[in-house]
Amino acid sequence: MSTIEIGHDVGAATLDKRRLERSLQKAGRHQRLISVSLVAPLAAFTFVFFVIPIFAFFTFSVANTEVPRGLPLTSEAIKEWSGEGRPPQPVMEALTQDLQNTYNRTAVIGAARRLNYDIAGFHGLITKTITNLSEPITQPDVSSENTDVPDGFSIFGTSETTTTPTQTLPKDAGERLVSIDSRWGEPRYWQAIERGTWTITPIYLLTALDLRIGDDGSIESVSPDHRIYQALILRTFGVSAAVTMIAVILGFPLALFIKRQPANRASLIMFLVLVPLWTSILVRTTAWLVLLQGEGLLNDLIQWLHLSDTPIALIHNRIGVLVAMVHICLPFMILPLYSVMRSIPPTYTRAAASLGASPARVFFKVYLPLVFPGLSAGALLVFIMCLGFYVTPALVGGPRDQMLSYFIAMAVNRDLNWGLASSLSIVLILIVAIALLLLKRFSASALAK
Amino acid sequence: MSVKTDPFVRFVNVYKAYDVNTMVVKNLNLNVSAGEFLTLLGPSGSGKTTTLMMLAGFEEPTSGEIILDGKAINGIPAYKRGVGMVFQNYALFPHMTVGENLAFPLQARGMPRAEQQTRILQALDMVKLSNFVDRRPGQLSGGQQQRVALARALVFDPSLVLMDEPLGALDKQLRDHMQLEIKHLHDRIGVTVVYVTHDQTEALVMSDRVAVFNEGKIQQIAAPSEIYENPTTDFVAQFIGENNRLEGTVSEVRGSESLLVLKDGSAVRTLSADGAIAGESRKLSVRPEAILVGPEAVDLPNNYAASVKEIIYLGDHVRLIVPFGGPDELAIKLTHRRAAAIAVGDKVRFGWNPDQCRALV
Repeated sequence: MSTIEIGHDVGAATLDKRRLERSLQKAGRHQRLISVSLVAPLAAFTFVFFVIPIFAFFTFSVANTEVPRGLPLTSEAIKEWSGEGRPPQPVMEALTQDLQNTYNRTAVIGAARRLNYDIAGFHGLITKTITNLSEPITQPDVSSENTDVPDGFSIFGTSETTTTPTQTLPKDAGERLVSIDSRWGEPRYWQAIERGTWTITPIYLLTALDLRIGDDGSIESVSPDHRIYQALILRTFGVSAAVTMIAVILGFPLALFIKRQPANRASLIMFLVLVPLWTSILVRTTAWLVLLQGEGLLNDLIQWLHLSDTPIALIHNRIGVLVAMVHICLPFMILPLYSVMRSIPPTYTRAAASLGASPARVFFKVYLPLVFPGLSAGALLVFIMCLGFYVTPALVGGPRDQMLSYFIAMAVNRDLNWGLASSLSIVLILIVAIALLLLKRFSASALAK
Repeated sequence: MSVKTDPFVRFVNVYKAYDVNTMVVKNLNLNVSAGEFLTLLGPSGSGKTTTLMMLAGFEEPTSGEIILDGKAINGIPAYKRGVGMVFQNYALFPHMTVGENLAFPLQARGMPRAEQQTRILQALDMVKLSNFVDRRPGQLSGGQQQRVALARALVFDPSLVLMDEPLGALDKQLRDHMQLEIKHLHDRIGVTVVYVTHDQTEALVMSDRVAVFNEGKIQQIAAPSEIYENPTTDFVAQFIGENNRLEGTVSEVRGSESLLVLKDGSAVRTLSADGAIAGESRKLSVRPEAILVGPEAVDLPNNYAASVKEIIYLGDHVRLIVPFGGPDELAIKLTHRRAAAIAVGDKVRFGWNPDQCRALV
């Protein structure tokens, strides 16, 4: 009797609990719906304009569609080739047909550009071959064409008659290609085409690191006079690190100074710190151009004070880049530093002093660890901003001061090389990721000590 | 614990101003004996915290001298004074463990590591937190954090410890408990303590002496019982404990006793130690628990009758409110037993002895 009662009670209790849970969930659903709908537009925006493009970068950096699209027959035929020596006759024939296909000319040129990334000069080789293949074999046909020209049907007439003779091949395709250019006899050009048919390609990523696939298929460094990207990455990293360091050295004392001011004066100084953010980076950079150039205000002042008789080079070199970048980045260092400093009650430093710690000890053992979150946030913000700087180095820097983003822009705008642009962007993202990881490890160990 | 007679800390004619218009501490003269527990009590802005900060070395006196153990310490920075300090928000370094917090003052003094460890364990043992060496302050409760702060202020054996409202952030029950714990700790190790609070109960419970501050001046400095039973100013009487404050005029002075006439014409015989003059206006101070009600009141020199206006239930006792002294009212503290027969509107007789009340300035 009693056991039955207990069982019944337990059952009722669990049922009630479940019902309660359900009703709680029901009550929470409305609230959740509201909060989700609040962030939905931003989430959609971020996804479309941020997540998808980044994903696209990753895809572009390894995409390898040009060769199969431009040389479809060759791509199919080259699968049979072992990769050793000269490829068999069907591959040669397929290439000849692909290059003669006038309807696919744009894609062929795309493939040529893509192959040129692998072996310099490939683009020229293909255009030369196309031109030569379209030339008539028999001289008399050409002369009859020439006599037809005055009739007024030159364009159609020419194209028809020039394609007719090539359809009938006098020699075998391989010999013909080699006779047009001896490079077709070298296996490495055919290997490049074969690499062009892979689903994904590492060449853009390798290029971004000054590496290439060698003739024997292994990864090797490019010749010293072609190396640019390793130095570029180092320079981008170095300039960003230098700017961050200078911003810390200048920003930390200023933030400390502002914190020590009475409230109304502190807000005035913060206002002054933020004023530069009201104008665009372009305007501020141009202002530095005016100030720092050979006949600029600063040089005028230097000469007027007889500190130097000739203008000092302050612009179009590293000095100009550092000065302008530090100026632009400084507010982003001061803001997080100041806000963290303001949140630290003075009792910590007072307690440390009352415990017998000298001012230096108080600073390094107590104040710095407490300020570290703001310092690291500011440093990271500045560092990441600097990595992506484009306008400022382009305007106030010399040719040796350009950073990664300049080359990314060049790859996109001038070379139409999206693969390389994406690979360089990935390098940037990796530097940021490494910086984040280092900082995380460093802060954790610093605080643990 | 033996309280020596020669002062360990002396404030001599100390003034402190933050700007031209506000003098925060005015002509402070204060002696603290070695081993004494002195509490600076007062409302906010009374100068008590500034006094403490000057002693700690975080503020410099505008003029006057502070002498610690026979040496003037004006101009000596806080970290060279060797004075321990406990703050209201504990000020435990959040990036260090409890052990590292306690090691901090020892490292600053260059103590060998092995000795540090024994000292740290001793200090933690003292506040009953030996098992918390490796915890971070954020993982401790408020009371535990304050005990760690206490241990940290004592671990380097300072001869003087300053406490700036150390229990202000704790809830009432924990506060009551910590008051006794700090008092017992003080009794045990005999360190000199200067303690700042605005809580009068705290001051009465813990201190050897209490200095009541108001408007930058010490109103009265004496043992807790003296402060409570024998307030010398109206401010002290009002600030410490419950007090009935009635305005009147002195009509007659006879030795230490005088006759005060209240606004409604009632005459009250009262003590007035500091030499009252006839015609002077004074404030009568009488504690609610000093007033007797009913037959016991009839024979008292001061006894009056009035109807009860209100009866307030306060758990352990009952408070009667009766109109008295013109516009004023009188609060009377009664036990339940004595209050049982009284209802609102009843006419009651009440009174008190002349030595239970004071005519204060």
